[in-house]
Amino acid sequence: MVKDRNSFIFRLLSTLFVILAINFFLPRMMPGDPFSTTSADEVGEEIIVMTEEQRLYYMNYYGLDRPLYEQFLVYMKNLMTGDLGRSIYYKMPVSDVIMLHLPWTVLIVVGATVISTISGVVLGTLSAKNRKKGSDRIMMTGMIAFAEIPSFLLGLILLLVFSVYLRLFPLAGAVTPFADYNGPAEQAWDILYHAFLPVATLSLSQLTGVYLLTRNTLITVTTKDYIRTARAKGLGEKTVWIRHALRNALLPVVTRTGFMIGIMMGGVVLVESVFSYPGIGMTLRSAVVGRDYPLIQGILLVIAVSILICNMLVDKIYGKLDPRVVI
Amino acid sequence: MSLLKINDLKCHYLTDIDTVKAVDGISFEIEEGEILGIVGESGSGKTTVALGIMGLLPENTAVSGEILYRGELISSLPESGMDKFRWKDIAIVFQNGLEVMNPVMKAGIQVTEPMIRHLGLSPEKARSKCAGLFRTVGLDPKWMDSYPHQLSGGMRQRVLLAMALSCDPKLLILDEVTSALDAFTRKEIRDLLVDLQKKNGYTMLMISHDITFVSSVASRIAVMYSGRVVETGPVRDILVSPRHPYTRGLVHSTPDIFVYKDLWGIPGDVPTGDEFKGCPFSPRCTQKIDICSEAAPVLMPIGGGREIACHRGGIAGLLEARNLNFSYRLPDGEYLQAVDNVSLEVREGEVLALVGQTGSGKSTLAHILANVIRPECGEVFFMGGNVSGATYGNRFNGIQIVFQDPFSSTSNRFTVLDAVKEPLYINKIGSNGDRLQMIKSALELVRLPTTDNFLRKYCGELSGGQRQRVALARAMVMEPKLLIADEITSALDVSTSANILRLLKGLQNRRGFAMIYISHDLSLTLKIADRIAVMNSGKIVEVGNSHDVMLSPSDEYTKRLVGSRIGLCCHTH
Amino acid sequence: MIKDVAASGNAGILSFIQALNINRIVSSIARTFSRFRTIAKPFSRFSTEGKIGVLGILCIILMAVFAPVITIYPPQKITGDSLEPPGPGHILGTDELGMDIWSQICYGARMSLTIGLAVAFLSGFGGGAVGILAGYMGGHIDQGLMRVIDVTMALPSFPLLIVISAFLGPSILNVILILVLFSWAKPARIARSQTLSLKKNNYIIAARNYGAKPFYLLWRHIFPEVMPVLLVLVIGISSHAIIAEAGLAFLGLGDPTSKSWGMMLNHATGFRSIYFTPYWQWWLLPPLFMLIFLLLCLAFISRDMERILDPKLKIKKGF
Repeated sequence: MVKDRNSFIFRLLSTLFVILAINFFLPRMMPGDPFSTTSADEVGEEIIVMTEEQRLYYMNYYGLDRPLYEQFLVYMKNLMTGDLGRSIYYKMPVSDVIMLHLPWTVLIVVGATVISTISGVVLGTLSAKNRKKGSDRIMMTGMIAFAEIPSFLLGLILLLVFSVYLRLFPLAGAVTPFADYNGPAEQAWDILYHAFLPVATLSLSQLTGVYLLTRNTLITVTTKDYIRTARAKGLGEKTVWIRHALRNALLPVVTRTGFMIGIMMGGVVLVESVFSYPGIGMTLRSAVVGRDYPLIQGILLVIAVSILICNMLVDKIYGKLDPRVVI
Repeated sequence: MSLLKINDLKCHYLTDIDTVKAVDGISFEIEEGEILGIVGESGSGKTTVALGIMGLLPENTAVSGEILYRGELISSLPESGMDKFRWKDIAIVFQNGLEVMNPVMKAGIQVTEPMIRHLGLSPEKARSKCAGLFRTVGLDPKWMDSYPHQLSGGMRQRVLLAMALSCDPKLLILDEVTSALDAFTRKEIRDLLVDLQKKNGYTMLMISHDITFVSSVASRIAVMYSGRVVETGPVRDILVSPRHPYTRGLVHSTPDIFVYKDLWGIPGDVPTGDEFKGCPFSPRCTQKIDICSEAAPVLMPIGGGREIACHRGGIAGLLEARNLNFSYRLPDGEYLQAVDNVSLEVREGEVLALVGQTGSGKSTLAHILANVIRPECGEVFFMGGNVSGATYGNRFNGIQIVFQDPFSSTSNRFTVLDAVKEPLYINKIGSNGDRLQMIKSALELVRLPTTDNFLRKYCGELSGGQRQRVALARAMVMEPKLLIADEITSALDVSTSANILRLLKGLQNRRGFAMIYISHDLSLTLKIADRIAVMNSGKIVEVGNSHDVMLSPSDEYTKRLVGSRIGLCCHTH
Repeated sequence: MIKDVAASGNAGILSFIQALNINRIVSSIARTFSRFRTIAKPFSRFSTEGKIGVLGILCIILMAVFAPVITIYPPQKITGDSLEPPGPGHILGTDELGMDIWSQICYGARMSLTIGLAVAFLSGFGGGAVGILAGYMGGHIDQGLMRVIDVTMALPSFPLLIVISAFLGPSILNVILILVLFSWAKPARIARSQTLSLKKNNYIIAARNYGAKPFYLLWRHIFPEVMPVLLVLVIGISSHAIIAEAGLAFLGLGDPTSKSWGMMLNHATGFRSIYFTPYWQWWLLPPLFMLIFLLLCLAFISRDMERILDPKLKIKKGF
């Protein structure tokens, strides 16, 4: 319905606007002078001291000495041109810093999405088919218990068990430092080796959701009349399950997969911190700890925009799959 | 060999709490080319039968008995075995609901799907056959590419029909196909079905709660109640003279069958499927005997292609009169033959109207039946016993009579209490307290007040309608099995008479007694009578189902009687 | 007792007053107990997992409340050598600064519970009240609120959480405030939709016909219907709040003076050689397990309550 679509666009734009506004107003709301408190409170971290030149640059950048509306215009103009400012810590343009770390996050998030979706659907389907058996109850209880454990605690457990205790996986990083590769295959293997636990953590944290959704939707779908009609037509169990039941049950799963990226963005900061994986999550953490404001704002913007893009994609794809929805 | 044969089929749904015996032992047969209708209300188990035949019952169902298709046992086949018969041999058209078709598949694809699988057609051939099927059921083939939610209810039902016909099944099961449709569409679907049957000779099993729909298509009907078949037979016979009390009640409750008659429901409620040993209808049956609560009756043939499941063989006969004769001696020596060789029968719970002009002998006949007058010859049997030998008016469950003139029915000097108490007093029935109780409930039945004030009133103080009701209460206090109402409303004005009539019929429906209603007003009797006997000069000239007699009389006298009706709706004769 | 008053003078009057108070106290206790019975009745319908959950929560609550009693050393003082393994002096050993881990766990429970409860109640009932009011009043207020709820729920909460708490400073109050800001939207939306569907019921129209004031309707009809839903939601919110607080603390954004479990994780994982030494076994594992245990208990209770209230709520979940 057109009305729904309008409100959907409205929601997208207003979310974007709120994020931009927060991005804009937050530094201006901080207690005290933003640039004299750039020390870290972690023991062992570097203490960043600004030179007068840097201070002046940032004052100019934020336009703190100019009236508000001018500041906002400058802010918007900068955004349009893709100028996200300069990172205090890295001493590079923020966009460069982001581009350096974003691919790692994309790798684990996309990997986790694919793995959790496929395994969740498969397990959910099996569970729906066998729902009377005792083994299913065990799996259900196990999954439900799993679902409640937040991703970073799960990650900690995996880290402790597989990396620390069993020494099967590395403790940190995306690649082995200072490694020399004998070809792209070896490099790929190294990357996978390091990405395994983070991807496993993120997958596990989402798997249960997909599993429960698939299982419950399938169970609901199998009680519907059209499944009985399909069976009456003598089409055979396989056709009935796949062509009729799953086809309908997967609609909410598709939606959820789309939103999964957004959900994972919440946990990616923590998971990357647990595994010291150098994606934008960890970068955000160190930026926050080091009060690297331009970088923080930039990463936040990237996260928000990627979630919005995913939402739009989901909307489009769902419209294609479900003929009852008018695009 | 019959196409489909069901032997003692039982389908019990097993839940954690209890067992629901949806189908509890039914048997029937369908011959090739026949259309059998299964009629019953919700909870009777008819849809379960359809699902059982197709093998679509849910997993927690215990199925026993045999389902034979062309002699092959299909009731115990596994899913893969059933799949060989589904759609190619037996197809089902479900009741149209929003979710009866897959919402994400186009309508055409859903129709071609079984064709491709079972008949091995290529997608193009299947599609063109589908287009042909669409046209057969009255749909433009362009709708093949639309989705179910884009179609109206009637269109969806047609798609379901096309889908069922797609693999040329031998047996077509139709489950409540017109329940959710409006009147126009219902007629169209009905015409379509009749047409299909004529052209292609499909064998059909039609399941519905709508008797009028089923009876307009099917040739035979089986009536189901609470998981059992209670009666089967040719359509017309069952409607015109139902032999089972439930079927009779069902016919009475359906407005379209006998349009002039008022609607009356069946008192009581549908059973909840609990454990019950006896006949499932017995709690609501007005003619039950002891064995009815102990053992369930078996379906037995009673001739004429009819079967019935009842311990009493269906609606039992109550009163039978044979060759009655009575004449009056006139002052001038002539004899007036008031009752001339009359034979009559009244069944349990039936309303027989005795219609004729003044002087036709109706009242005389009534008095003979009530044993007020002795016939010159002939006999009257009531529940097997000869009326003239015993008096059936002085006991419970006997015969009672209410007379025409309210002012002489009750004595002026009796109080209401005394008047109604009279039969109890005469026969020394019950203590004073019991009698008061019975009197009060009888008065309540006829909607008279039961206050002490009213009970002390003299009958002379009451109006005609009230006195007639007192007379009725007096009759009802003896709980008769047969009530003879002799022109009881002729002396009353229209509104009072309407009230009394409705009261009487309501009582009759609830208590289940039989009634002989005597009147000279044909139109009035149409409203309440099951059968009409027309009397002329002492003879019964015509007897039959009330609507048959009214609308297509065969006797000359009856025709004249019917033709003499005046009023708004009669000039279209 | 009145005889006492008559018999003895001052002492009598004193005992009379005492008797009065005792009566009042007894009757008020009896009243609260009877209210407990109505709450306690559904308890018996809990499954085994639910009962475990309730017991677990009770244990943690007791641990938090009686922390001074069950611990020997205060959590912030250095009471032993650093990184002592579990032993007779310190049940769970000490951390790198020499602070007792067992007492950190016990006092840390306070933090998690406080944050969880505070956020849950504030956003659950506050958001619920806002939702009910908006649903009841309708019109522009309702429309406006819906927009705000939509936007709030579409925001990526955790990254924003991090950023905002980074900018605003890591005090407990700030954390609670921010968490409430992100959590109030869901109960508001659910309360609103419930109110909207309840408003259509005929008994509300009938009551209004009899002259009922809005407050009466809200208090006697709408609120009791919405309460059960909110209750279940409140438990869910407290889970999220506890996770969020732990996450923030883990990242180093929590209140550094509070000894929450997340903070313990932060300190532990921040310790350079934590993974190459056996210290993680008693420094890292206890807060980890306590967090997981608390969350699981809450989850069991929440699912059980949903299951019990399900026929009225029509919320479908795992079972």
